[in-house]
Amino acid sequence: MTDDKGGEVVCLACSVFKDALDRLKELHHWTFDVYYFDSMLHMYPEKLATGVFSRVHKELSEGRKVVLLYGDCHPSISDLDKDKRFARVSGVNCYQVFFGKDRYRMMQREGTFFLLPEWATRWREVFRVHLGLEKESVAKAFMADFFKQIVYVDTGTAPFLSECVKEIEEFTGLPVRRLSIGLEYLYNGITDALSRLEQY
Amino acid sequence: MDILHLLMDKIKNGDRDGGFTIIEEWKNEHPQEDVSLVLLEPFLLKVGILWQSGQISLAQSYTATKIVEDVVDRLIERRADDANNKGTVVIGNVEEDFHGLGRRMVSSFLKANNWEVRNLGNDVAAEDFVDAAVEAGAHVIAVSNMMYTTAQNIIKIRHVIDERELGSKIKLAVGGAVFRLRPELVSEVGGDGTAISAMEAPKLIESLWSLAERGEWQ
Repeated sequence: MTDDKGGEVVCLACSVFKDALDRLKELHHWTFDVYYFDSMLHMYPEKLATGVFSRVHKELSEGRKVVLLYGDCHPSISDLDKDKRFARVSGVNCYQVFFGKDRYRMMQREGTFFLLPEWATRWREVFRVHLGLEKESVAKAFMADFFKQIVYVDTGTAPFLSECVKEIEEFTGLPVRRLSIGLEYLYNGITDALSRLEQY
Repeated sequence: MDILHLLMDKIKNGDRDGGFTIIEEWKNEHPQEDVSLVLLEPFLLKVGILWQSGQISLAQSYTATKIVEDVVDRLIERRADDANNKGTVVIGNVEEDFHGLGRRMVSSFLKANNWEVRNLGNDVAAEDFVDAAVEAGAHVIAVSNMMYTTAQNIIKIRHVIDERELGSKIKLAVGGAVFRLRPELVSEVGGDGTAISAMEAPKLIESLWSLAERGEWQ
C-alpha cells in the first residue's frame, strides 16, 4: 500500500491484534503489509525492544513509512515518535487501543485483569510459563491479591472459547466476565496514524 | 543449608507458609532486632537481584514479598514501643498507573527498615498524595509508576507540592521501570530522587527524609 504521497506503508503490530486487524483490512480494503510480533514479548521488554525497534529502524531506513500497533510496552518506545515517517496508534496498552482510556480506567479501578482472545488461547503459557504461576494455589493467591475479576475482551473476530474461560476461572479462582466490543477504536486509531503519515 | 537457601527453596515452590515458619523458627533463636538486618534485608536483596536478572519469576518474587509482609506484620504487632520507627512514608501509584507489585515490594523493604508506610494504592490523584503526607507528617512521598506516558502525571504532584510551598518539607521520590531506563525523566517530572530497585528504596527515603528534616531544597 502506498499513501497519497507515494510512500509505502508497513504496519508492525503485536499479535494480539491479528484477528481484529485482519478483519479491518478486509473490510476497508487496506493493502499495507502487516508484520506481527509474538505478544509474549510483552513480558520481556528488552527482547521487545531488540525485535520491534530494530524492525522499525530497518523499515524506515529502506524508505517505508511505519504504523506501529503497540502501547507503551517499553519505556523507550516513545522515542520512535520523533521520526515523521513513523506513527504509533494512540493508547498506553492494547486495551486502551481496543476500547479507549476512560473505559479501561474505570474497569481497572474495579480490579480487572484483562484477557484478549489470543492470550486466552495461550492462558497456560501466560500464567504458568511467563508469569511463573505454576502452582494453582500461588496463582489463586496472586490473582486474588491484585484483582477481583477477569474480563475477557471479545472483539467478535475470534471464536469465544468457553472451555478456556472455564479453565481460567478454575485456575485463577476469579470470575471471568465477557466484554463484547466493536472495532471502532482500533479502526480510528489506525486511520489516525495513517493520516499522520500522509502529511510527510 | 543456610536459612537464605531454605527460604529461596520455599519461594521457588510457592510455599508462603513454609517460608514464614522458617523465619519464625529462626527468630526464636536470634535477637528480635536481628530479623530485619540479618535476615529480611539479605533475603530481599537476593530476591531483588535474582528478579532483576530474570532468574526468578514474577510469582516467586511475589511469594517472597508476601513472606516478608507476613513477618513484618507480625513484628509490628509485637513491637512494644515504636522507638525504632523512623517516620511515615506515603506511597502509591501515580494517577492512571495500575501496576502495584513494585509498590508492594518497596513497602515491604521500607517496613523491614522500620518505616511506617501509608499505602494509597493504585491510580492516586496528586492532591491525595499531598493531603496524606501533610496529615501523616510524612517528609517523603514515594510514587511508583511503570510507563513513560503515565510518568507525566507525576508533574501534577510536583505542582501541588510547589503550590502549597511544601517543597522544603516534603520530598518526592519516584520509582519504576521507566526511571531505570530513562534516568533523565526523574527531574523532568519533578522528582527529587529515585532508586534503581526496590531494595535501594530505603536508602533513598532516608536521604530525602534527612534533607526535608533540615528544610533543604534539592
